[in-house]
Amino acid sequence: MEPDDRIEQWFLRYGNDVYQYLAYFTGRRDVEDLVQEVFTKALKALSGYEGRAQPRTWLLSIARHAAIDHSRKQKMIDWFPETVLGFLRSKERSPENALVLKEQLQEVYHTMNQLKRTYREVLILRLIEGISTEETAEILGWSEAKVSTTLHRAVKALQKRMSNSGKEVHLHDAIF
Amino acid sequence: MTPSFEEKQVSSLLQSFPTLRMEEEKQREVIQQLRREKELLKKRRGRAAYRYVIGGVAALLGMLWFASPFLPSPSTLAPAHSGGQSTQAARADVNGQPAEAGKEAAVLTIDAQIQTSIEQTIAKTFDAVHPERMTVIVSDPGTGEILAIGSRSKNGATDDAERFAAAGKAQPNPGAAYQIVTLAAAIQEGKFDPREIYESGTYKGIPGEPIKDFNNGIGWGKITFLEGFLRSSNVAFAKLVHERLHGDTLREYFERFGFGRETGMEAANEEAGKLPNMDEPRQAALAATGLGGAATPLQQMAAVGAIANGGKLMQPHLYKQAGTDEHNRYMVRQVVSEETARKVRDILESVVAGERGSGIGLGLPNVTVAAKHSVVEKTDPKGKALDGKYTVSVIGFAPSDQPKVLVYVEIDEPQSELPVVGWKKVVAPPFQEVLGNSLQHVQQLQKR
Repeated sequence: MEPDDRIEQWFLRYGNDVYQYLAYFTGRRDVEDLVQEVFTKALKALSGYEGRAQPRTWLLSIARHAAIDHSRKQKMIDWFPETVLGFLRSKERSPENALVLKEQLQEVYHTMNQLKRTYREVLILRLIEGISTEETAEILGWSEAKVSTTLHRAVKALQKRMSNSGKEVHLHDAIF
Repeated sequence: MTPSFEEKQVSSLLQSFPTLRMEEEKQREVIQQLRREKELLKKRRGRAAYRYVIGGVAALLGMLWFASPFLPSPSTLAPAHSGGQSTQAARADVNGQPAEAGKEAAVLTIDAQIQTSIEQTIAKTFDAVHPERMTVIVSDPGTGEILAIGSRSKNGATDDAERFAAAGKAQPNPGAAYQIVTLAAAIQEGKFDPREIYESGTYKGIPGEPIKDFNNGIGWGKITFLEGFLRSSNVAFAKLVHERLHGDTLREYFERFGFGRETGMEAANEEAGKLPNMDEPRQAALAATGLGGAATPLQQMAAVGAIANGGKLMQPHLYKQAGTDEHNRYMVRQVVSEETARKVRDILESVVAGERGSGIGLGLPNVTVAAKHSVVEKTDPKGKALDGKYTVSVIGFAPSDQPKVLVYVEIDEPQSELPVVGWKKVVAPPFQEVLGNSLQHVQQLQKR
């Protein structure tokens, strides 16, 4: 197999994992361009990859950097007055492309997004994506212990915030 | 640290977030884009690889260019005295002969100083590239006088007779001399238009295997015949002979220039060589490129000397007699017109001095040099190529507009790190040294 064909194979296998991660990270459904960016970067960097990590782990760590870059750009755009970059904003942030979840989940998601970034990151990877502690540690560049404790604190912080804002968690309603 | 019930619920909630998938349409778009990127990347890598190759070759050539002046000069002064000895021996040897033949007044044409200098050059080159054999001849093209003659073979030939024998020994595929005669013939016959364009690379106009330019039949695209000659394009020669000149005419000129017959120089055992077979168009075309037949170094000296000498073929000779009409005595015939000879000289000068010349690197500072080199694969007596065994030679004269010395240098099977295509670099230093020293000496003599 030609080495460059691996990327296409990986896209078919892990494309949706990357997509989902980016969607929850950015809160948007229209992250195809970012997915494209991630796999193009992987294609170009493939010669330096050579089986250091599991492909999915590697792809997700590229996705994480792409997402962070993206959110930085987004913050810049948000900071400018709307009149200046109104056209950009309308294009980039059209509400119909926002990630919409069922009511209960939307509240949890919204609350989670208010947490600090390390908490958000570990919650998305470990719980929403369901990635193992080991893999998460590799993606974030943390130790496995740090992943575990941060996850614990993140869940605690999220639960606290939700009960503080008077929102009770109705697991049953949320799922069914 | 055990999670509370609420915390477990939050965790479960997060775990229950829906799996998100890309739309299939979008997936296809991404894949297509990835494929385009991949192609782009491949192309870029390909170019990058070429850049490395080209860069490497350029660096190598650069290094060789830097190194070339040092190649044949491993600072050996030791062979100088042995050279001197053999010079004396040579003079004694040939001096003895005429006395026996009863030509009391004859004087040897060999110039002691040039002879010593070429022996040194030969010794130096031997130490540098360890060839099987090396032959150097210097003559005055205006008279045919041999000014110096030297040959040395690896197997320690100390016998001076052998040194003269090499000059008269026929070798297959003379290369440059055939090409020069072909050009002269084409110009003389009005069949050479220097500005005419032809397609270089590979010539399939003749039945049989196509004739290819030395760069693997790639050539240089559509170029003029002049550029073709300068670049030593086999296709130019083949086309010229096959489509314009024809084998019969070419054979006539080869004979006129003295190939296939002894020159008559006073060296023992001079061979007649062999005219290339030109009955078939392909053989004639190959002869024009320098392949086929056999010629002695003396024959080549005489033929190219005729170009240097306004079209007058002179018999190479080792003795001169004061008070006799030397010119008439040794002039064989007018082989081409003076005008043709001048044109050929101009083109040969461009071979060395021209931007596209194959002989760049054979020149001298402050002197115009006309020369052509050839690298010929050796063949066994049956004409079969000996794999990887080559002879490199160069023949040329200076100054190109008013030639005073004609030099032939031949190195048989040099041991060189260079690719065979680059063997001009092996032969250039001795050629330049011999030509430069001889010319300087001759000009000094004339000033007196």
